[in-house]
Amino acid sequence: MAAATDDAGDSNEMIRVVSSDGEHFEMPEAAANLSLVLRHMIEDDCADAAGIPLAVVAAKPLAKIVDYCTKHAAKSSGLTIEEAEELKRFDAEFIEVDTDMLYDLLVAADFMGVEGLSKLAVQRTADLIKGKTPEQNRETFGIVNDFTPEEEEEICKENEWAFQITKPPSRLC
Amino acid sequence: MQTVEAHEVDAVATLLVPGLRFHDAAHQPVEEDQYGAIASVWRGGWCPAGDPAVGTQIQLLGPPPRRRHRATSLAAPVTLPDDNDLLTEILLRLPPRPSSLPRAPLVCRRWHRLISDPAFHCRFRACHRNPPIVGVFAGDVGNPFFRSVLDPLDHIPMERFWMRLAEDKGGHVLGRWRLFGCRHGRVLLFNRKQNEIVLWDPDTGDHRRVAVPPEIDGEEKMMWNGALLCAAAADDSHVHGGFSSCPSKILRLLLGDWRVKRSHLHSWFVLGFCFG
Repeated sequence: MAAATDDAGDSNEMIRVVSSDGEHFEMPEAAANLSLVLRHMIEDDCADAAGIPLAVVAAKPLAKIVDYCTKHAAKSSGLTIEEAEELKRFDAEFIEVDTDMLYDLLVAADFMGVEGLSKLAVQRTADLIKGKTPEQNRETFGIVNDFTPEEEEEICKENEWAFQITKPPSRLC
Repeated sequence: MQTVEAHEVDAVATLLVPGLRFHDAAHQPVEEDQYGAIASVWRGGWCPAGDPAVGTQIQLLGPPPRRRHRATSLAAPVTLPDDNDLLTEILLRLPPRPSSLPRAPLVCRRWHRLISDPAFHCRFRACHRNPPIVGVFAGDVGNPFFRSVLDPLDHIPMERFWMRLAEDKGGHVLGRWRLFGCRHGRVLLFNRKQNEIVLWDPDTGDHRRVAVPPEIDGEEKMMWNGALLCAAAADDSHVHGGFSSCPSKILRLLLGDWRVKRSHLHSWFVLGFCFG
């Protein structure tokens, strides 16, 4: 069984969760409460020794989510500037993951209702999109261009300037 | 085997409970392989016994999320979620720079549809309350033109914000326009030939105009300068947007000791005119 090691929050109770591939994890209740789904399950007394099953979250992303929630629950209030900076560094390192894990975190955080992690994964994905050409984004995200040539041309015309990597004009004033 | 019924969808949480079986609205059992990303259960409603008094609220969702394509290249593509809400959240967090959002609609129909939604534009503005200065208008007398101040990747050609008032009372004729100022993406201009003030949205080409009172004859009394303010600037929740998204306010021209009010410049007003 994988278990979170950091202490988090005032509650000593540990909450068990079960990944889609059957691996069990434990985390402090304060950490579990960062997930909307788990919080409601706990409030409804549905968290038992068997663990809360999470159907679409595999063990690898779940382990990351447990780490994230445990870290953030332990630093949830009364942060000093140094602690806030440390948490920021933790987030930056935490989300430096490969594309497969990013997808898993994106879906799992949304699924479990972990707002902070969801925002982090969403922002990381947006960072992958920014500044790229449409073709580069299709390649990055495995997207098929489903426009007809006519549609593509029409959309290009709407924002023609945006598709040109231009140099600053030499003639000014 | 536990059984619950699906009714009254109010889903927030989603989870799979082994052994739990679902019925659809017609009380027909739903096969497990159709569960997909499975049932959504809302607080107070997760009740394996399916007690109607508790009001179990379950939503049967579609098929499970499509798995990513396994590419043979080293950099495997990321498959974005099928959930449009999640994709919208991602697109909303693109930086407000010319090299990002304006290009995104051309990726595919789905992206184009989401970004073309007017509600998306409102949310994007709300997400980015302090957008960067993309450029300035230069040439305060004659024919003002746009000049980008961003680096080459985000460079906007001057033609993008060329005054599109050309067909409108001689807009491109040199010497006719005087640039009074810019604020919140709007440009305040004075057309000397027509003796009217024009408020112009360079992004959309939309504009509003108001005639200068005949007393300002350009001889003894003339327009000297102007300033543009958003009437709703004091409202912290206000998001500066197009003409249509702002509440109507009053244009107030201060003319010496007397005032003229105009009500058709929408949310903007002009003040501080001096006359020489």
